[in-house]
Amino acid sequence: MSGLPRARVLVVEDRGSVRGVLSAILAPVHEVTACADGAVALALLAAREFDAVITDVRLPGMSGLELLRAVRRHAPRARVLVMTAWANARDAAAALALGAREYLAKPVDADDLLLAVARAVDPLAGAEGDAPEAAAGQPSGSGSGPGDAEVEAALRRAEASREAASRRWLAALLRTCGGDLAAAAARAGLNPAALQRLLDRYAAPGEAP
Amino acid sequence: MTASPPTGAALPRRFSTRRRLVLAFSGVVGAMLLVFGLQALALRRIDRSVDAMEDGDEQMQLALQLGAAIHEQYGLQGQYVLDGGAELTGYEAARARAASLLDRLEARTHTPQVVAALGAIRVASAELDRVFREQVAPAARGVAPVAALAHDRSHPLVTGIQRSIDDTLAQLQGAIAASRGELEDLERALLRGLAVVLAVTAALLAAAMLYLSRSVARPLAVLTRGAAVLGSGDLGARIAIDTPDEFGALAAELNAMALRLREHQARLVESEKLAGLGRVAAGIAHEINNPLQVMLGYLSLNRDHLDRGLAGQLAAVEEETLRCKQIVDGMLALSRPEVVLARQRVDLRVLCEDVAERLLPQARPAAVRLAVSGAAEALADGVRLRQAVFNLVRNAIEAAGYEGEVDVRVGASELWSEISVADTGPGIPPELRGRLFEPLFTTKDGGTGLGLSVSRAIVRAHGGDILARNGDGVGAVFVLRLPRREAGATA
Repeated sequence: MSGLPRARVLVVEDRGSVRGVLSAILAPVHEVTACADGAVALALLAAREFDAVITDVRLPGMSGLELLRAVRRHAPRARVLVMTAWANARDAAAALALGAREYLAKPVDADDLLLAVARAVDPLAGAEGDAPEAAAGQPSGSGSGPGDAEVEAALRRAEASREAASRRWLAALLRTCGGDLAAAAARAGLNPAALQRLLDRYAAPGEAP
Repeated sequence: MTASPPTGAALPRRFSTRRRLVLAFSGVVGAMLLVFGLQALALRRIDRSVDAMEDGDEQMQLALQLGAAIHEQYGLQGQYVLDGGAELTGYEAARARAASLLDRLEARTHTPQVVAALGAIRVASAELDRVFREQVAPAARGVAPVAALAHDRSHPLVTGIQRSIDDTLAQLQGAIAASRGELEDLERALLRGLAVVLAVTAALLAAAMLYLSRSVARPLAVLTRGAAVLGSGDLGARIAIDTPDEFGALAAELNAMALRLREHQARLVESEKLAGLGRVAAGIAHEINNPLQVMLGYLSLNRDHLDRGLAGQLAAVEEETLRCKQIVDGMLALSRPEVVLARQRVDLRVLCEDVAERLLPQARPAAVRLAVSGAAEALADGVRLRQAVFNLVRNAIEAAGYEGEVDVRVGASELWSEISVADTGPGIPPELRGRLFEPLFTTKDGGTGLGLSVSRAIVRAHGGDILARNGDGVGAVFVLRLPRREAGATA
């Protein structure tokens, strides 16, 4: 492992089976801790440092967005990735506006999850300056908020910018490793086949769903 | 489908109810005027007859007075003889009165017999006066018996005059009787005419009422009943008035309105159904996407560690897992496609070429020939519209089959920007025509049954529509159309 140090990742997901699969995907590459709700997550965050927090939106008690807000306040160095089973433009826009690094709609492919975490914790990404909140619309604090179309448009811009950022990050990764796919894969915490799939996908953007 | 409803206003219509009303009323008024004119004419004739009778009466009075005056004149001649020629003033006055009466009578009469009789009277009267002055008066002043004799001798003149007067009276009486007879005839004729006029007027009025009832009251009743039926919610009802007048026009407008309402209602029901489906989808998305996450997560995690046979099998599982996600996404997209439109000017030709290029990997293995032609622009949500066009073209490629053709044409009419996608496949079976756009309806093995319904929901959210029909000869044609009006509004 010549690449990144294992990142410390906290998975917050109430459903055991989902928690299990996320841990299984991340554990070979990162140091994974998993818990079922926001209160435990905050306790864990208070006890030690994490590089990334992956949280579901719908959680018992504190919601994923509330957890996100708390993490931004109390553990600002942790990057937060928000996942949800019901891809919802308003939630996504809110999450990105609150400072989430990614908004992921379930089901997420293992390759994509690993890429998202790698991008979130890799200083390369910071150098690229691809903070998604720059692209996401800032929902106003008032109750009514922006119109649905506005939210949707903001989310689309954010998605497009994430795609572009992923492409740039992968390019930067390859450059950094001198074009060595195996080295790049190792650095990103991916296996070479997975990295090749991602490169294929982002070189030629996929068709509309 | 939104076949534009046939509106009555489009048809040329003669507005003849007003003319009909005017015709009926002027018919009645005209008949009345004619009747009154005839009555006035008859009354004038009666008046003339009455005048003639009065005139005859007056003439008879004059004739009687004339007789009396002649007799008085002769009597005064006798008196003169008896008095021995005392004075002539009384006689002169009587003679002058008789002459004046004779003049007046002559001036008024026009009957030849009476004129002749009056002439005879005038001659006899002059003779009577001449005899008196030349023979009786000189004798009276001398020899009385001679005078008396001479006076007696002129008596036959008086008798002759009296006879002439009697003739005149008889003539006048005859004329009066004739006038009276005529008057009675006229009165009878007038009464008969009146009866006929009354009958004809009544018949005319009845005819006018019948006419108006047929041409106004009856269609009004039909309209009222029809409007009540439409009002009760039966929008399929049709008001059956085809006459080329105001009622026909109104009925056509009401029918067109009902048709539009029905279409609108159908759309509302459909969008409500879709929204309901969307709400259900939103509810189950959470429950389905989590299991899908577990499945996809493990499948994708292990795909690089499997032998080839197992990898192939699990790739199929992965593919179906993703299809499940697409179904849920599609159902969510149906729930509220209209709130997510981010419109911008879209070059439809470029969009279609882009879609065709992306679908080449699917077209090539089946040797399907893809052609894009024409040009048009639209103000639309490019991403969403692309999704709809993508679905149509992909369906067409699948329908076209091996070595088939797909023809994508872009064009614009006055109202719409259109993309038509024609294939050389088997076409749309008639029994499926009504269900094509139904959510979750599919005839394809790998279909979600959401492509067309999502596409149409997207296009309808733009104010457009997707219409499906069979091509001329072979295949199916799907026409996606977007209103041009909105494109122009924000130029």
